[in-house]
Amino acid sequence: MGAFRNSSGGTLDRTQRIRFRFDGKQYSGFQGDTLASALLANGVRVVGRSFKYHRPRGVFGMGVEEPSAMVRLRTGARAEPNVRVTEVELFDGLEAHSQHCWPSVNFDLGAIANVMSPLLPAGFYYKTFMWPATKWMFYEHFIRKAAGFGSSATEPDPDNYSRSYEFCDVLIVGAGPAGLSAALSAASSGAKVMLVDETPDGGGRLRFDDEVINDQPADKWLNETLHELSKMPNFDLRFRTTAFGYYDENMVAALERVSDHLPEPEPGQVRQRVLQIRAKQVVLASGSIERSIPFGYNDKPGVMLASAVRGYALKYAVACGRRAVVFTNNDSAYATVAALHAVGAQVVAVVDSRTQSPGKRALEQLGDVKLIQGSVVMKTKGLRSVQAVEIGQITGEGDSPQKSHTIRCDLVCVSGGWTPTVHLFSHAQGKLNFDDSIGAFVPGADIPALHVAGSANGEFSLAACLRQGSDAGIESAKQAGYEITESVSIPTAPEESVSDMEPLWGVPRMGSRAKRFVDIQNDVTIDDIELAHTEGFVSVEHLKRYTTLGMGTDQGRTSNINGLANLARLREAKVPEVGHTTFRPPYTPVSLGALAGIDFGEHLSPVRRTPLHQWHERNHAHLQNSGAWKRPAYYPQTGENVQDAILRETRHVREKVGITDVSSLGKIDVQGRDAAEFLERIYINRWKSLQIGRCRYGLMLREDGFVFDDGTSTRLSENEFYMTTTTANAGPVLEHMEIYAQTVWPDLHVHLTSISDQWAGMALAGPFSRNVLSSVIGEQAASNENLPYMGVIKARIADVSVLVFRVSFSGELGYEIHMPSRQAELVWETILAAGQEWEIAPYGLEAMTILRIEKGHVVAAELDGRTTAADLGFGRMMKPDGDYVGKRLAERSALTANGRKQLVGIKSIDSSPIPRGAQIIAEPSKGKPAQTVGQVTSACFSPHINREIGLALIKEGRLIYGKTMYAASPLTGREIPVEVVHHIFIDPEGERVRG
Amino acid sequence: MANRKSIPSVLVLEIEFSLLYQVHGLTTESCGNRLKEFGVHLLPAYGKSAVGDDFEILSNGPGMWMVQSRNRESELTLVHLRELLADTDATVTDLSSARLTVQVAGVSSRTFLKKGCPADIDSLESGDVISSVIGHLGATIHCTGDDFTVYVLQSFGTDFWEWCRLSTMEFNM
Amino acid sequence: MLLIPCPWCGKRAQTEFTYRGDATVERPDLADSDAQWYDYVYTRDNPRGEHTEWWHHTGGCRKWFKVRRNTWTHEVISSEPPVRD
Repeated sequence: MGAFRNSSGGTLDRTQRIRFRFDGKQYSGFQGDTLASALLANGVRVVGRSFKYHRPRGVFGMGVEEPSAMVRLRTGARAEPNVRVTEVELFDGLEAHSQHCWPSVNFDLGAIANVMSPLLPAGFYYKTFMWPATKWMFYEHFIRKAAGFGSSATEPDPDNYSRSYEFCDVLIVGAGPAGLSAALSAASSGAKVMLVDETPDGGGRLRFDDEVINDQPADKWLNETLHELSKMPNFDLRFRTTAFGYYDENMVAALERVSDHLPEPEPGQVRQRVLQIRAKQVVLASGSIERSIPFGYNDKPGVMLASAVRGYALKYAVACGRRAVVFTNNDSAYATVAALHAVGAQVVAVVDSRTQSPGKRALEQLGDVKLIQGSVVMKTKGLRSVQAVEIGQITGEGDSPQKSHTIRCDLVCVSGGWTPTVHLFSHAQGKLNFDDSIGAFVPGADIPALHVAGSANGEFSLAACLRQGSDAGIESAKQAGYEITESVSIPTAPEESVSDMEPLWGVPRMGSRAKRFVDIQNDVTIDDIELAHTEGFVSVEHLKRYTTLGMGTDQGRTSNINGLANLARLREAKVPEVGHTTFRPPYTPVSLGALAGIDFGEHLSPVRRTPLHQWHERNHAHLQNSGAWKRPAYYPQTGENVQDAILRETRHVREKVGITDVSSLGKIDVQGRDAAEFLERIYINRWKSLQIGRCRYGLMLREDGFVFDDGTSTRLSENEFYMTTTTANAGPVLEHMEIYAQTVWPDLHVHLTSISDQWAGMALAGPFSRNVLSSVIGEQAASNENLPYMGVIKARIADVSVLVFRVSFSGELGYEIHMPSRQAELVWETILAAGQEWEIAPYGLEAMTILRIEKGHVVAAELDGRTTAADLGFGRMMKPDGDYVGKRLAERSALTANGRKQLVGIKSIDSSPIPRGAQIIAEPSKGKPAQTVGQVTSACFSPHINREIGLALIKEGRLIYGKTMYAASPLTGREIPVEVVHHIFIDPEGERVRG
Repeated sequence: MANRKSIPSVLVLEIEFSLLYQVHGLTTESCGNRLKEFGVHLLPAYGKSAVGDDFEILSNGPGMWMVQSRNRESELTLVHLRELLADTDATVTDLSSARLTVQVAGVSSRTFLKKGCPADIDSLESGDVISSVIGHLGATIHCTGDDFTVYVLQSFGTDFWEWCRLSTMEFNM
Repeated sequence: MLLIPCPWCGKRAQTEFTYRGDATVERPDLADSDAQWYDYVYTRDNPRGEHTEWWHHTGGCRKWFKVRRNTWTHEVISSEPPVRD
């Protein structure tokens, strides 16, 4: 059970015992425990080590604000570092290990850093370990190893993550009294209400204190309220869900920890889910967090937040110590007396730093425990945890306290006041005001559609929290369009008379060397803040980064205000003048796995497959990525290496007949009365004159005059065109045309529809291609008379209606056959079967590349956005009259001047391979910088020229045919002599394609 | 929160529309007069659908409708539809092979769609049609009451199936 | 994440859209000066404040429309089709 667990009390199910291990040692707890409560119950005081000085650390708080007690949770692939024990729901078989210590958490050699601490103040790495400079990388190795807490798992995460897009009328963040009160009102209006809370069962402040609501124990009110809400169909409750960021237009992102509390997710279950919640109205009832007081060695195990001590007692029946001292500057800590008594612990004294008396209720809660007023705890004593405290009396403003006496104790319950959790309000660009009465920042002016209620608003009276919550619920429902028809009863609580807090940002030094910690995770002390100030880091953002105050995993939740206020004191300014650092999402850490969801690995980008994909796979095609598409690169046969396969396919097309899958080409349906006129304005050449049943090569420019894309478009009827684009530009071309059709020439009657997926395409090419075609559509249909070069006919293959285009990319006699993609495989296999007689064989992208380079066809490598139509040899296609996209700027002097790079072919003189992307220079460089006059855009070995060839853009290239230039690749140190030739290597007269 | 269920709470089934066309430029008049013989009298409003004898019209964009039939033998062939709409401003494009279509059924069908679609799925009522995205893919979603019909580009079909498989895992525990 | 109000589909998440820039520039006539054409293609204002800009509902109805947005506060003020009917 644990030496510190009371035999009765708490809300745990004591019938369910749970076994767990910490640092290899077996302990037990109960269902409902957190790892923190179970460790405390078992008297485990030292759980970790601090970041810089490796000082022992124990549990400090009870929730997300925990700065100290972090462990490595689980082992193997699910091991997770830096997990706060206060947030871990205990499950059977749980394993946790301390981190950032060696050999053990109780005896850590890293504590040498503590001994060296005078050498390691804030920013030490800017000043120390500098000499000698040559040794800096040696020092850096050890400093880097020392920096960082836990280590992550090294195996892939076995769990699944998910996301969900949610919509609601009212989103309420926080299921404490204010949030639940808001939920009651808002849900009763019929609005769609969502309530998120980071804990497994809600309650907010009711977890710390045994309050009274509606004249009954708060616990009972909590359960009844949740029950009532769960019956409403318009109410969606998510526990274990942290709202971590507020984004534009009331979008709140939240992390739902679906199965973190289980040993592992059930089969099929996700581990965590990210919710993107779009709410019409948001109610922030995110509560507040207690803060510490900096005093000497206030970081020791045994120093805890007073509210946490109460919470462990109330909920878990755990006594965090046996002899306690309460140290406070406000009334709320007085309730700790009764809470500790209930679990059998003794409260030796309450030390109250205020000059005024505590409030009436506080005095009642004090009972007959000794009150030491106007005094402070100056420091703790004890080697590895608290064993005693030194108390000093404050004699007047600014005076150092005099040491008055020592009290033996093992627990210090500290309360420096409460800090509203305003992060989401700040994300929403809300401005914060500093409220002197509570010593914290509170939400300032209202933000549309965002309401703050309860202690997040700086309101600490329970009765007021309930009222504010109810008001916020009614108002937010109303603004979302739902009126409350019946009167809603507002939950009530007894009004209290409370005495004011008096800020105590730090106990004065009074000549002691005892470190007064502000940030106990990063070991930042008041002395560090003074050092930073002395060195000129006086802005709050510099303070943070120079000292690392608030930069730990707890983000300074219990300490930031103390830090700012000390800076204000040093600057002799008020806290609002110092300001605060910027709050940024996420509120608490979010795992990358949750953010990725299923979008990683193979699913990072979508994959597009042609209608023949399965045929390619069955026939052992080697597939490659072509943008989003998977396309066959080649079809290796047994015994072939890659190069053999590619060259075989290439030769086969020029000697016999081949067939390739071109389904990935972009295809756009252009229809309407003004379809031809529209194409006339998109392409550089003429389209209105194109006859029905004919196709034409088209080139289009960007508005800046450079070439954008090319393709072949066909007139199927008076007002219907079948347009093709390159594969990569299918989307961009459609978008480009939509811009012009919708925003520039909306008066034109034309409709554009993407039909890339509707049509599959195959290119049949080679000297025997007409023979093959004849055998499937008939000799007459395939004849040169019926289907001349650049003609188009409709036909039937295997009873499928197809379009046959007489076009050739390969430079051989060839056809493109298009059909509805559902029938693609049938048509493909029909053609293959018919073509057996002529030894038809499939070919892939690699062969296609060689064929098109040999034929001088341009692709994206040449259409790189820097080339004009004239550069590529298409200048004569540009129609002189009429407007088209890019016409005007294509005429500007720079694009029509002499000296531009022009498309040419190059042949390797000594047959060395030509490096693709090589620069062209006129003379060998001899290792010196040389003037480049162009670049190689495409290169390959041509089996038909039996030489390495390529395409290049060379300055005035068309004037230097026959000249020897050099293709230079400084990256590989090669310079290849090349002959500049015409860019069409095969059949420049085009006899084969026109035959 | 997932509970153990003995029957799957989401089912995703591939369905096929034999005929599927994208029509631009229909008007109430042209639709009412010319498609009357097929039992459709009114053009559906923006984002809505209408059901005829053996076909449906879905409004999938401004001035755009999907006209579709599961009946392979339907008389509403491409040629016939174009004839009916000749000398109007309407254009018809065949998309019969261009989509992978699935039916999403089950009590958790909305929760399933919400995993990938950033539009407000909860607010969709029977007959509503939206064009949005699911995961990375453009999708048209037609609410048919408790169930949904989802259309994505055919070439992304395998990818979409994979998304469906991963996303249904936690519903069918 | 912004909500972009498509004039036809209603408010949708920003991820469904593509942004294109200033919607107040108009394509000049062929006869207009070089300077006007250069401005059309290359020159843009970069105002801090309200901006009228093109958005494309790429993952939706595929229509272009104009949005009035405050580039400083990200407030989306209004939207309208390219051409008023």
